[in-house]
Amino acid sequence: MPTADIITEDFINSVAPNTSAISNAQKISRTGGFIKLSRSEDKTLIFGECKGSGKNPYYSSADFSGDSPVFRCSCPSRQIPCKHCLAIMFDWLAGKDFSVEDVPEDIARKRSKLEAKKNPQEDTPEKAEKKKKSALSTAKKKLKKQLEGLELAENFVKDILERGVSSINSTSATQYNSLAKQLGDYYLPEPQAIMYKIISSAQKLSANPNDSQINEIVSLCVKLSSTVKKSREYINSKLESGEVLPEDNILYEAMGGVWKLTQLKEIGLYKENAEIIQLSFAVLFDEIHKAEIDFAYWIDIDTGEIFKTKNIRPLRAMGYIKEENSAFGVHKIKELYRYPANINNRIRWESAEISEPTPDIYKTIISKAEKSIGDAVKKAKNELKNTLSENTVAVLIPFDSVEYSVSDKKSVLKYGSESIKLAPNENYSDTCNTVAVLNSEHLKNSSMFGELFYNPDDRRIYLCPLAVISQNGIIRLN
Amino acid sequence: MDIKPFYELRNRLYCTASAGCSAVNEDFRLKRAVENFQTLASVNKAFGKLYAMCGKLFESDNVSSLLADCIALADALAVTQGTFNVSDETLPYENNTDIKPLNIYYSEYHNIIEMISNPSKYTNLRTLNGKQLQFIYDPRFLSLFLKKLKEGTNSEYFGEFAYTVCRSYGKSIVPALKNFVDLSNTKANGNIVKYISDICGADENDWYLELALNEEISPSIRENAIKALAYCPENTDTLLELYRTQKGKVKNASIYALAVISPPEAEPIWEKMTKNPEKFAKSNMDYISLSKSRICLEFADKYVSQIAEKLESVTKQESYQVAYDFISACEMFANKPDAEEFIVKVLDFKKNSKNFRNVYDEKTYCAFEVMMIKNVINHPDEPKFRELATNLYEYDKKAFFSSEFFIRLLENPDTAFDFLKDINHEQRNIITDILGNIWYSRSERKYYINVGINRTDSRQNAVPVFEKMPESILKFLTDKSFMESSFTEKALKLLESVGKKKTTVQEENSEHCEKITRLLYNLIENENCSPDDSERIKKYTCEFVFDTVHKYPSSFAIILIGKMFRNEPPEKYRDIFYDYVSYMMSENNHNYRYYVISSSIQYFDNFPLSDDDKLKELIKIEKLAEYIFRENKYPAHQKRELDLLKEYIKKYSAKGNN
Repeated sequence: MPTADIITEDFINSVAPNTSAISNAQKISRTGGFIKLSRSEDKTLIFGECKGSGKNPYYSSADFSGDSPVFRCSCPSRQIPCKHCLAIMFDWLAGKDFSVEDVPEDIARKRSKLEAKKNPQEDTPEKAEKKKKSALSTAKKKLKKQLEGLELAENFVKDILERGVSSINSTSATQYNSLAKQLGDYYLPEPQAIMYKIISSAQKLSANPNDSQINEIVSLCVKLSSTVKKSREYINSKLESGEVLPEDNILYEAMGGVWKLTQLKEIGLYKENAEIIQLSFAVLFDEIHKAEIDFAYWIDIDTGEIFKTKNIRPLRAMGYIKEENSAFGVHKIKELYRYPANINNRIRWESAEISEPTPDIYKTIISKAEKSIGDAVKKAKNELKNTLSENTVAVLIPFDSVEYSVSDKKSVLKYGSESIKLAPNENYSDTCNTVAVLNSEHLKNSSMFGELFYNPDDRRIYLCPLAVISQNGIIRLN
Repeated sequence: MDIKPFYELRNRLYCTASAGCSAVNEDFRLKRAVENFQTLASVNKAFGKLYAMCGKLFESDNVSSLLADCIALADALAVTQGTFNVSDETLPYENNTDIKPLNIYYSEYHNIIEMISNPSKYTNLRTLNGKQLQFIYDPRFLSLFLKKLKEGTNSEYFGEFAYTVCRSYGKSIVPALKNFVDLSNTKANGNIVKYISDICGADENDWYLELALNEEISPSIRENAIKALAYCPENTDTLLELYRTQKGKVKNASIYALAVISPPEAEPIWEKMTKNPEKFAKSNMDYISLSKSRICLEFADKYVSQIAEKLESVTKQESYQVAYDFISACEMFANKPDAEEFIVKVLDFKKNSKNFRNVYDEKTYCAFEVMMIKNVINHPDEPKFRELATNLYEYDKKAFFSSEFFIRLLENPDTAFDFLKDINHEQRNIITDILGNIWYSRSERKYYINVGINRTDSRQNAVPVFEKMPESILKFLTDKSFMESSFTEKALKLLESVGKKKTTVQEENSEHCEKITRLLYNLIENENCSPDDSERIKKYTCEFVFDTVHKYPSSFAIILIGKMFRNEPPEKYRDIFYDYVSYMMSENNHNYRYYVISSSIQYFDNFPLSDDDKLKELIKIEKLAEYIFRENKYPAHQKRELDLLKEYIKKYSAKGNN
C-alpha cells in the first residue's frame, strides 16, 4: 500500500492543479500555515489544521490508502487538491514534525464509503435489464433530437452558400449567431462549434476582406455540410438497426458524444501494459470554445503509433481544472484507452508508473519512424482528404540531413532520394526557426517528429517540425 | 498529365461559394471550367466523378448541398495531388552555437518565453536566477531571442539582457547573430551589430568595414558598424573619409569612433567642434568625453569653468539646473589621463561654492570616482589612468576612497583590503555597498561586479572579477571588530527606560550588521555564488550570524538560522528568537512590532531546540508582547500576533505533555 513517503516535489507538481496553487502552497508551508500536523501510524494519511481567513482552521488531508491519492480539505476552494493539501505535502517533504494520531472519524467513514463504491453490489438481472432499457430509450430520444438539430445546421449552410460567403455582413452574422446558439438545445456541440467558427471568421472578413479568409469560410461550410450529411446517415442507420449505444466511430464524438473509459473498454479501444513517451507538449488556445488546451503527442514505444492527449480547460473554469505539463519519463500504463480515430488517436489513462528513459528507448523510437517520406505523406493524405478529419497528421520521419533552401531559406528535410520542406502551421509558428539554430550534429541521421499538412496556396505538403529524436534524447522544438 | 484544369475548376467552385450559388445557371465561368475539365475527367475515375457532380450543379434543386459536396471532393482530390519533393538547391546548416537542449517543464520555460516576448515584462528579465538562466542555452530560447533581436527593441532591460545572453554564448553565437542581420530591410535595427562587436571586438573588423561602407543597408546597422570600427585604430582613414562624406547618424558614428581612437589626424574635428564654447552643442559632450585629445581636455576645462562662474551668480532656485549642467559637463574629463590639475580645480571650486554644495554635494565626487574606475577598466594597458586615480586619491583620500578600493579590488582582490587602516563606519559601509555589487554568472563560472559605487542592479556594465570568492572578502565581511562598543541592554529594559535612545555607534553597528547579513544571505540563498564556494561562504556566514545575532538581530539572520544553520549545539539557539522579537518590538521599530511574530515564528519553529526550551522562550515572548501591546493601538494586529503565539505555546505544551 502506498504511503506518504511517495511524496516528492515531482509528485506534488504532478497533482497540483496549476502553478499558482503550488506557489501559494509553498508560501503556506514556508510561513508555517499549519498549526497542527499529524499522520496515521501506517503513514497512509497525513492531516492537519491550517489557519485560514476564517475563524476556524481548515482541516486538510492527503490520503494514500487507495489506488490513487485522495485529497480532502474543508476550505471553500473548488480546486482539488487545494493549496492547503499541497502545503501539507510540502510540510511533509520539508521534514516537519507530524505527530502520530488515529485516523479521524470522518476520514475513516469516507474511506469505507470509497471502498464500498469500489466493490459495488451487482445488479439483479431484472434491474440490469431495466437500466439497459432506460439507457436505450434515452439514447433514441437524443438521436431524434439531434436529427432535428442537423436540419437547422443544414439550413444555416444552405443560406450562406446561396447568398454567398462574401455577402455576410455584421447584421447577418448576428442572425447566424442566434441560430448557432439555438443549436445548443440539440446536443450537437461540434456542429455548433463549426458554426461559431464560421461566424467568427465572417466577422473578421467584414473587417478585413481577403481571399484566404473567404476560402477558409468556404472550407468550414463544406466541413459543416459533410458533418451534417454523415451524421444524418449515422443516426438514421442507428435508429433503423436499434443499436443506439456508442460504437467505434469518430462521428459519435463529432456529434458531441462524451466517451466514458468503460465504454471505450467495452468496444475494445484499449491496450494493456502500454509504454509511451511524450514527444511534444504545448498549450494551445481554442478561440471558439474559449478554452486552453494542454496538447501533447506521445509515441507507443512498442508499436510506434503516435497518440495525442488533450486536456481542455475552459477559461471560465480555469482555476478548477488541473493544468498538464511537459513529461519526460517513460509512462508504463496498465490500461491505455484510445478514442476512435483512423490515426493519431486521442488517449487517456488513469494511472501510470513513470520511469527515467534509458538511452535504448531513443534508439527504439528512431526505429519506429516511417520507412520513407513518401510513406508518411501517403498515410497523411489518406487522412487529410477526409473532410471530417483534422488538418494535420502527426508522423515520425527519418532523415539523413536537414539543410536549407538557397532560394527561400526554408529548411528541407532529406532522406534517401526524397525531401520535404519544413514550414510553420497555425499552432506552431516558431518551431522552424528553432530547427535553424540547432547544431549541425543534431541535423544529421536522426528522426524528425512533426505534423504534415497540406497548403492549398502552393498545393504542397509540408512538415511542421515539433521534435528531433536523436540517439541521445528528444530535442523539443516548442 | 496537365491537371491545371482541375485546379481551375476547384478555384471556380470556391468563387461560386463566395459569390453565392443561387444563380449558378448564369455562372458562365464555372460552366467553362467544367467543360475544360472534361478531358481530365475521361482519364481518371475520381476526376470523372467530380465532373459528373459538377455537371449536375446546373440542374439541381439543391445547389448549395451539391456545391458543398463538389468542393469537398475537389479538396480531397487536391490533397491527393499534393506534392512534397523539393527541387530547390540546398545547403547544409553550419551552426556550432553552444546550445544545450534542456528537458524543462513547459510551465517553467513559458514564463521565460513570456518575459522576452512581452515588452511589458522586460523588467522581469533582471530577476532571472541561476537555474532559469540555464534555459538561455536551449534552442527554443535561442531562436526566439534571435527573432526578437531581428525585430529590434530599444528597451534598456532587453538590451541589458541581450548583452548577458550574447556574452554567455561568446563567439559561438556570432554566426547565428550574423544570419539575423537583415541587410535587405532598410529599417532594420542595428543592435545586433552592437552585440557582435561587444563579443568580438576587433576580430570582426572586416565585417564592420563591409557594413560601414555599404550605403544600401539600414542606417542603424551602418551606424553600429561604424561605431564598432573604433576597436581597430587602423580604421582611422576610413573613419575620416566617412566623416567627410556622410551626414546625420552615420557621420556622428564616425565621430564617435574617432573620439575613441583619438588619432592625431582627428584633431581638426575637435578644434572645429570646440571653436566656440558659446555655440557648443550639448550633444557633442559625449565625443569630448570619449576623446583623449588635449584639445578636448582644455575645452572641457574652459566649458566647466564657464558654468562654474555662472553657478556663482545665479539664485538658489536657478542653481539646480546650472549645477546639473555642471555635473554633466564634468563628464567631459573622462578618458583623459592628463586631467588631474583640472579635476583638482573642479574639486576646489566645489568645496568653496555655496550654491553647488547645497545642490549636489556628494554626487560630484561620485561622478569623478566612477570616471576613475571606468578609465582603468576601459584602458587597461595605459598606466597613466591608474596614476591619475592614485594621485587623486592622494589629493583627497576621503573623496576618492571608493574608487581606490574598487580599482584595487579589480587589480587583486587578495590585497585590495591591505591599504585600509582604522576604517570608520562610513568607509565600511562604502566597501560593503561595493561588495554588494558582486554576482555570480553560472553560465560563465565567474563573479562579476556591477560598475558603480552604490548598490546598483544594472548588470550592463558589469566586469568579471574572479572565479573563486577570495578569502579576503569573506574575512572583511565577517569581521566583527566593529562591534567593540556593544549593545548590551536587552530590548525589554530598553523599552522600560522610555526616552533612552541607542547610541549612534550602536545604531551604526546594527545597520551595518543587518547589511552584511543581507549581503551574505543574498549570496547563499539566491544562488549568487559559485557552487564550489557555497560551503565556505556558509561556514563564514554561520559563524558571523551566531556571533552577532544576539546583539544585533535581523530578520535575515533568523531566516538563515531557521533554514540553513540547524546543526549547531542546541545551547547556541537559546534566546535568539526572544532577542530578535524584543529588538523588533523596541520603540525604534514600532512599525514592525505588529508583524514580527507572524512573519518569523515559522523559522523559530525549525530551530533545533527542545520543545521545552521553545515553550519557555515563547512564554517569555508572550509576556513581552502583552506588555508592549498594552497600548492597544492596533487591536486586530495585536490579537493576531498573540493568538498565533498562543497556538504555538499550545502546540509545544501538548508535545511536552506527550
